Amino acid sequence: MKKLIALLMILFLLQTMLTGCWNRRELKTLAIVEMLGLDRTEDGQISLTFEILKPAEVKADNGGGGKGTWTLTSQGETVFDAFRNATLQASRKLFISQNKIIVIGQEAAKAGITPLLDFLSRDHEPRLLTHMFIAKGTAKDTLEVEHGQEKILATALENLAKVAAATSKIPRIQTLDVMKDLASKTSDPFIPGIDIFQNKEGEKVNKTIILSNTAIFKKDKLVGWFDKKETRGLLWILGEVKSGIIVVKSPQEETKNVGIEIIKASSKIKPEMIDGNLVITMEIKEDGNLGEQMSEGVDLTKPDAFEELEKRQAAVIQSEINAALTKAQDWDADIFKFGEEVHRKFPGEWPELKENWDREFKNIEVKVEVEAKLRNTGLVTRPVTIQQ
Amino acid sequence: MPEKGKITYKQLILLVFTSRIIVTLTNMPGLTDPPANQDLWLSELFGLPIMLLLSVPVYLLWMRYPNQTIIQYSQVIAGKVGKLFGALYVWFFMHLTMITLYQYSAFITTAVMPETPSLFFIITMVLFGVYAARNGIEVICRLSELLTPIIMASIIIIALLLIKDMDLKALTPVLEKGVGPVLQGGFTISARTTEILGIAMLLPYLNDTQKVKRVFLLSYTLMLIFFVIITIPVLTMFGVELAKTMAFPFFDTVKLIDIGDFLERIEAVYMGIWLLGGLINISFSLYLSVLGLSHLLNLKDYKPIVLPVGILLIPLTTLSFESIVGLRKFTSYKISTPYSLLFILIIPSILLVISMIRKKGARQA
Amino acid sequence: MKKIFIHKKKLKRLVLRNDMQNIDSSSKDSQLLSRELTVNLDTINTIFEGTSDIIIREFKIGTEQQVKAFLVYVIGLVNEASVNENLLKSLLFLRQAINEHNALTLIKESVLSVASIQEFKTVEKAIDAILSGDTALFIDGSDTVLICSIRGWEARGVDEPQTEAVVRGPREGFVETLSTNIALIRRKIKNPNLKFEQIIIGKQTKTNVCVAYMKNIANKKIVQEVKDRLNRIETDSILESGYIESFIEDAPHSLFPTVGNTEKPDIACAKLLEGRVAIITDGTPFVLTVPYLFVEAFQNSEDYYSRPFYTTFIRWLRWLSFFISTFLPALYVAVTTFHQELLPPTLLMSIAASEEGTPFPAIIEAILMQIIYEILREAGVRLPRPVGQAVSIVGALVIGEAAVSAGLIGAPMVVIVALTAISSFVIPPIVDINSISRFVLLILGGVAGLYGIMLGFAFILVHQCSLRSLGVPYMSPLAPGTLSDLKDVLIRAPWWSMLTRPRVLGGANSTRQEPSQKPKPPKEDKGAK
Repeated sequence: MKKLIALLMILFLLQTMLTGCWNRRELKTLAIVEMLGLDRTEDGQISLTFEILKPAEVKADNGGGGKGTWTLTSQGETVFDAFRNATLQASRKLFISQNKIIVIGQEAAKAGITPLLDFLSRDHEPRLLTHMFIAKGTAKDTLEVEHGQEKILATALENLAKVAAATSKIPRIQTLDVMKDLASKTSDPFIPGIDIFQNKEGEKVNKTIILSNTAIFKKDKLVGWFDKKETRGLLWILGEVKSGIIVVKSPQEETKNVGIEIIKASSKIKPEMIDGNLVITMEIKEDGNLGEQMSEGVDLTKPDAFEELEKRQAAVIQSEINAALTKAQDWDADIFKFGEEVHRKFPGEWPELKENWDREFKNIEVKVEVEAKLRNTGLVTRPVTIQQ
Repeated sequence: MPEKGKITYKQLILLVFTSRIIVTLTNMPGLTDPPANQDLWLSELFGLPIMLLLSVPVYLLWMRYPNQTIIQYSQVIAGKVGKLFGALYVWFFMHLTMITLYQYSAFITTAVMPETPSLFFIITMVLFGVYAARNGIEVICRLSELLTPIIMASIIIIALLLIKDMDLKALTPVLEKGVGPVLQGGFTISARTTEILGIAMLLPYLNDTQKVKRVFLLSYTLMLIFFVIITIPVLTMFGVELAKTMAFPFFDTVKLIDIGDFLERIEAVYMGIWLLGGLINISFSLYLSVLGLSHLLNLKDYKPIVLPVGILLIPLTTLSFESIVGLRKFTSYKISTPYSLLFILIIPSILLVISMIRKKGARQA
Repeated sequence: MKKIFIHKKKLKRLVLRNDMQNIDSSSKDSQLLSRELTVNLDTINTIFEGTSDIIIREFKIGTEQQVKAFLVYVIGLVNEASVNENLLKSLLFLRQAINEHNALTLIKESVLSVASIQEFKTVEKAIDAILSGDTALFIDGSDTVLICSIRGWEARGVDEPQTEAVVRGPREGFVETLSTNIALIRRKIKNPNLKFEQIIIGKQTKTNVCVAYMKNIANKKIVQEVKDRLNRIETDSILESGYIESFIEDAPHSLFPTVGNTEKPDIACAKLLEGRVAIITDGTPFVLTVPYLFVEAFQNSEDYYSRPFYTTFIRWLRWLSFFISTFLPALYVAVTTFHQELLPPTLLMSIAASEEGTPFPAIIEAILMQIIYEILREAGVRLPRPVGQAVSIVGALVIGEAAVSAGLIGAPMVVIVALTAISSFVIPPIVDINSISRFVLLILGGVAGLYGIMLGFAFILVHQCSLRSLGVPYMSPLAPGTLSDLKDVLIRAPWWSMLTRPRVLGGANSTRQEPSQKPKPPKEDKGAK
């Protein structure tokens, strides 16, 4: 009898399981979002644009001409609201776990990105490793552009972000980096920007996506843009330059250019307190190779020519860094994470400095010391045209 | 005695280790304790001597009553009052099971399957706990012997996979607020270690009494080493400030693993392994509650009461905690520290003093 | 409801009646033989009335033809030539003087050129002996029957077993005759400590069952327990060792076998030498070994004949195959229905594209495919060989290819099922466990995703941990962990490092060999040229 009661109790409990699991979703019922765009509309609402995958189209052999994705725009009072409102248009439930890219429109960025990002970290579906971009216009326009190489725009952008390291003029920023900077009391985030490039071919207007300037934020509001030179300056300071080309004027033929390939670079930030003022000494070390010389009359593979090239290299790096520093200190945006370095070096003084960091950051004197070396010359020693 | 099984000291160490680690893996409460900065790993290391100190009353009591659990000898020492203490302990274990159940089901529903009602998870976890506990401590220990090495290996592998992305500078400046808050942090972490009582309940069933000191030492050392292994990736990947805002820090850290573009999104694997550990934890707590209850009521066998107690826990869990916010407040260091210290330190010390005075039934050392 | 109760009462009555009959017949059989030959002859004729395969040969012993006697044997169970030569001939042409009093002793000691002779006094024992293939000699004037063992019947020759094929290693397999099997084992272990004890089980079949063990190695408690359990069996028939298995196993309700079996003598001997007990049953080549631990399924005899590195790798492969064949379908269903975020984007696209047009949800597809696969497998085993080809063609082409092209199931599902199937054959003893646990986990995965699978896995683990095989925990040496035994589970340690026998069996004699067995190159001669 006791066994019967026990059995009945268990069965009664188990029947809650038999109704099936609520979280079950068949693949066919999902709309897989590849890219997400966030904008604010004029009346203060949030507008979301989604790039949704059509798996069959993508899988079909390349003969099938259909676009692999379609776009959808929805509006709501909050991000989450707009997200759910999208189901009013999509025939399936939106699935955002595979989302690769987040694009925030310029106007929305100016108004502050923290409210926009809260949903993305609170909900369990979005992931923190998605790449972020700021669109020069609205995110919506960006998402509606077709890409020449990839069927899915998101894949194209993701790959763009990854190969941007080849020039080191565009940073690679993921949501995690932005969140870390927002959580820090002193550092400010920066996000690469996207622009739409139009060219007319007769009647048709071809639009393509191109990575351009970098958006600089103060706290969570967009305050300005760095061009490519300044962005690289920023990356020099952060020690995140991996590769790229430095162009200097050729010694002995000042009108022609020489391209130096960056092999590796590192940066050390040393904060010091001199007379109660913060001074930061930056040591940048760089190794480069002679990548090309467009001056065919000069043999640059001689030691003194190399020394000259090294000096010019260092000068270019210095100017890039200075450009970045000036602009950032102007806007009061500590995108270089100086605050954290000072925190580490002077933990005792830090609580005070932290309070007034805006003021302090503006007044930091920065000394830049660049050590640029040249190592190899490639497969050729001197240009073809020089007779030995 | 209701339980006739015997366990080896290695099994006990592994069991206790798993229980404690899974709680930390889930929500890492230490982040909001003092000193609440990047020295968390240091607090954890300092926890070792403090944990050992906290175990002293329980150890001394065991030396005097080697074949009895704390509930049994409290009755011997203090009679009716002892019985009251015993009842308090049973309540403590049951409450612990409820907290664990609620936390785990909250984790699963928030992080992985939101639309499933948490009741489903609570019920299934309780059913598993009942099944495992009915089979006795030997089986629970064997289960943990099988699964704990896997859990340990996974944690180490996850930490290794994250090395390339770790920013060790986030651990500096070290000892920013001085040693005081760090020690205080160590203290709160140790006070949360309710597994001290778990060991106390199971010491009578060890098959080799020479190894008791080793049990304490090794289990704490293992726990703390792994705490550090778990904490450092979290701190270095997110930075302290961001980590403090997260509900389930280590889980989010696992989400960040990205090696060579193909080894990503492995958090579901982690979920599976975490779940195995969590189930062990729940079986263990449930078993302790039932064992304690059977000692309290002097039952011949605890097997018949496992199912009723388990089923009773289900409504108790859903009723005691209305929302995750209330639970968080309870487990924060301000409230949970005195609460657990009562059971780990204060009551055993009282019992020890009474026992030394009255010398009732104690084995003379 | 009432009908069930009535049915139960009828059943009880039937059982009682049978018991009564058995009691009656058994009391008859313990009757003693008589000194009168005619009485014995009558008894034998009555008992064997109606059967045509019993030969009763009456004759007179000796050339003087004084004493009457008769032989009884079963056609086909005896070596008739030998019966004629050694038994009949020597008796018929006996020249010595013989009378009723000394006939028995004389014949037994000096006349019969038969190696094995026994004496019995009861009818029952005589009948048992005759039916086992011995020849019974009844002599007038004596109440003792002489049983001469001149057995010979058609049996399958010792051949490579069908179910356990190896690349390297002996290819002998057990046969259906008990004495041959015993001999096969005896040939490998030439040790007087190897004991064989015979028991007869089965009221109707009276099957000979033999318990084998190494007296100096096996745990006495285990041996005694085995014998007790065998003696406790009271059933009608033992046709195969599987019957015995179901009566002596520790966990009759469990999915997992706690009794192992093998068809090869070298495996049986290896297990005997580790301290296990073997149970050999007449009539089947499958020998049982107890205790049986879970990890034994992953150990193959061939592992020990090949080199350690490769076999360690193969062992890991076996563990991997086990997990694949149990979890893969469930994981696939769980991930594609609950945890789509786990899949890499390109994989997700492929799977989504192939599942686009299919009518069934993933879990239904999976269950269907599994059932179809099991049908195919079973059919493949039962069909006669010429038709077997057709089955594989039908299976592969029609069901796999065509179903995918028709859009009934998705291509990934076929891949999953095929992988699962193949990996389940890597470990033959696990195939039955796999089929069932796969289904259970599949359903759990479809209902509750990864959580369900892990929960099911945990339940199965707890169940396994609670099992014991004759007192030895089923999951040893993994849990409780015995470090010295693990070297044969996770890896395959070379022979020179396996210094002890498995400690988990708790046997008497633990050391197998001394530590100095590792081969080393010979020491160099100083002053060699």
